Amino acid sequence: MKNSAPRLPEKPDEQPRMSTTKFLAAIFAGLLILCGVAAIWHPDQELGDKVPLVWVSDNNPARTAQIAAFNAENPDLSLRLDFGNGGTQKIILQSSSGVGPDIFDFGSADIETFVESGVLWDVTDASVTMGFSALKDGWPEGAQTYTYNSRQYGFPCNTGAAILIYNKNVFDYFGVPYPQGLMTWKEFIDMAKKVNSQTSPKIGDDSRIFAVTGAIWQQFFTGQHGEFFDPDGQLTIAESPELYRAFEMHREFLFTHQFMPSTIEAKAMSGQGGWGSGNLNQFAAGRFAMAITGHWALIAFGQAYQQQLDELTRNGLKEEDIKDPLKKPLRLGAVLIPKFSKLPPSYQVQSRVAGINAKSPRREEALKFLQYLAGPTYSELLNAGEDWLPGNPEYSELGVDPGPPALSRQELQDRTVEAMSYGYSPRQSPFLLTSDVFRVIGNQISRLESTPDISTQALLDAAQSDLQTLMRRTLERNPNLESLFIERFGKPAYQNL
Amino acid sequence: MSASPLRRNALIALLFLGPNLLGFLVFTLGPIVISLIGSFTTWSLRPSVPLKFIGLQNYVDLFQDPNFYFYFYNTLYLLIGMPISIAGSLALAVLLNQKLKLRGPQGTLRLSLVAAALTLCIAGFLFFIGSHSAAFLIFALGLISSTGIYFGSIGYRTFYYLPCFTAGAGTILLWMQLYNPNFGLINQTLVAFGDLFGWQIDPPGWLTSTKSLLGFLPLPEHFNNGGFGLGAREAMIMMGVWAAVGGNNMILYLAGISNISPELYEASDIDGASGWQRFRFITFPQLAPTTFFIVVMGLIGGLQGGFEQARLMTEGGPAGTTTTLSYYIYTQGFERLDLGYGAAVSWVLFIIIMGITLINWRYGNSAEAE
Repeated sequence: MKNSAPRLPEKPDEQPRMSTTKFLAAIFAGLLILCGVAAIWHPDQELGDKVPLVWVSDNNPARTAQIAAFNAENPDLSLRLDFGNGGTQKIILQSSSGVGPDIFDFGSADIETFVESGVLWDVTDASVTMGFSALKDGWPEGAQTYTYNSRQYGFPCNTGAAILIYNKNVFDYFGVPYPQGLMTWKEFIDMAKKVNSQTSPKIGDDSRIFAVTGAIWQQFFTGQHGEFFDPDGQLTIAESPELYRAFEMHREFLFTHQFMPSTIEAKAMSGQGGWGSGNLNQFAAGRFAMAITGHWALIAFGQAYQQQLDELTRNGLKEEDIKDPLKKPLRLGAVLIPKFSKLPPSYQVQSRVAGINAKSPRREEALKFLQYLAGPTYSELLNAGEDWLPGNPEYSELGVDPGPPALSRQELQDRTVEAMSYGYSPRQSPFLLTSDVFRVIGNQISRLESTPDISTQALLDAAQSDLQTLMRRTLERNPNLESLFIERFGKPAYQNL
Repeated sequence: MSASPLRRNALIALLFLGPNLLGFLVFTLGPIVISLIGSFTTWSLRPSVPLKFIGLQNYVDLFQDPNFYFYFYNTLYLLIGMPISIAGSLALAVLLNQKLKLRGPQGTLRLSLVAAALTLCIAGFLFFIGSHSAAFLIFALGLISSTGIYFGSIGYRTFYYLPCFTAGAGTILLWMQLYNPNFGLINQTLVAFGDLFGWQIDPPGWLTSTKSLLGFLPLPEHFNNGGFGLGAREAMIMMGVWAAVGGNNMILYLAGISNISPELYEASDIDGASGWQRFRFITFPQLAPTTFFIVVMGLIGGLQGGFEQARLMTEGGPAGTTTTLSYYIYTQGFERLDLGYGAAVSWVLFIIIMGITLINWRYGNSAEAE
């Protein structure tokens, strides 16, 4: 039997369908039209005649008022915050390709990276004209945080040196007298031992009280006025007695005395979030007796204090009804960070600096923002909040809000100003980025923390070797730097890098 | 057929291919060529560094850089997870290919409801006595089981494939919490398990530890060997295995298994083969092309991998133990701004991958043919 395929019935009056080609072409045309609409409908047009400026900074709640005041003072400009676009690499890439922000913040250690990548505008001459010159209006001890090779590249949004903030409740709990005046590290260790020796009472689940947070190698290093480079820019890490001592003290604090949490414990704490870092919140909650930090930490402490007060109110309690000091709302005091005996006090000045994108088409307008940072309006707003010191020392006390007495805002401000008088910034080298130095030493600190019995000299030698490799590579690629290096140290020194 | 419609069709094809072709030339081929040229130059994002041809200097520096070997070792170390994840995917695919023998739709529903009720009771009890983590775990397992009972293997397949739907960054954040040395679920479970048997367990530091399973070897000084144990690298391997077992490899194996002729299994039944023999002599050999493909792709992906985890979880630490070659390329190019050197590292990585892939093709193909 012959099989034949069944014939499909014909479809009379079938409407002709749009061909695939035409369908895709229609989509293509539609997308082109949408691109045109997007290009024409530019959001900046909503600003009218105002010049838009974008500032990449953090999402500090105080930024809203600071921006509003700037916009009110400059009706021809419209500044807005872009807090999600920070990060050195992101800013460099965006700015290099012409789509970066107009103004961006950077930390002191990154200035060379930004200058070397050509995205920071040299405002030295403009700043003199507009009255926010680094040397004239800035803190002399902190000038290096926003200058590079004696050229100015921005103005601080805030600046300061770290201080020792203590939680009075924890001291009361252990019956230890509050820290007084400028101690030596030996006196500090004796005091911290009194706290740590009594940490057996458990508070909550598996928690204990540590003597201090933030006592890291940088504090010990800068406390000795340590330098990574000699005055000619050559590395001095392997033979630096200051760095050796800093590593040893870091190890001692972590493992011998257990004054601060181990890496594991610190990691666990930093994972607990909140505005600001986790260990500051833990300090506010009474899990540390002391914190070495900038007084900007008051932002986190202020929030914690308010939450603690709210909780009391919710529970119908008054502060004076509470007997256990650890259950009381936060109470702070502050002294200078201890010094090394036989050495004068010394602290590293740090700044959050606002710089201008060299490729911004609105960089002239952005200058007004730096001028604003150096002026009284911004400084007053900064002092009214809980941030660090204004970049202009003339206004360091302008409009300081004493806030709740428990937080001792004025005391913290005074200690910070005092610490600034002992401030300095470690020397830079033309041959190596400071950020590389911190990264490589940070790597060796990680090794120390995970293998406590490793020798300090081995760690310093490894850091020196890694950094010399980087330095050699930098010199090989930059003939000017190579000539400068050979001129200063000779050919054999270069070959031995 | 006249030339005119052909030309017309070619023009139309070009019109549609054009944007893609342009994108490929500008964003793929162009950068590849530029990076190759750049690897022989002083290419840098620093304006103070003049662009000049330096021949093989970047490559010479690279091979003299002890860190390169350390990061290459890290990259290879993370590949340890690959055979485990491939075996896991295969096992899972075989399991998920089974037909669940349950009694009719009514019976299935009843069993599913019983499982759900049992889960709620146990989880509720655990929650009530304060074991919140255990309650959550039991609830999740019970939910998966009861849903799986009702929907059969399709339900399980969906569950196992879920990690692939999740954004990589989200998964990484989740694992960071799991690895939290003090409060993470993993260490809490380990400690609770130890307490159950009266053992004093010192749980691993995971992402904060430089220990490794090969830590007993006399590794070079700059390899930052923290000794034998579980550390950050093992944490990354475990996370990678978890993501890969139920991922695309499982789907490929499922597709491969469904293509195996049922006649082979029928014949083996007649011969009285056991389940293991059916797997050993039918399933596994028949899946050889799939396994070969998965191994090749896994090796390529593994050698290129580790960037997301290093960037989001560890920043390459502790002490560089989770810095892989792909993260090293990023740090050299975009943190040190040394694009020429970064390009040289990426070309060396390319040559390594190409070499391993060719070896695979040469010997893997012949093994498959046998």
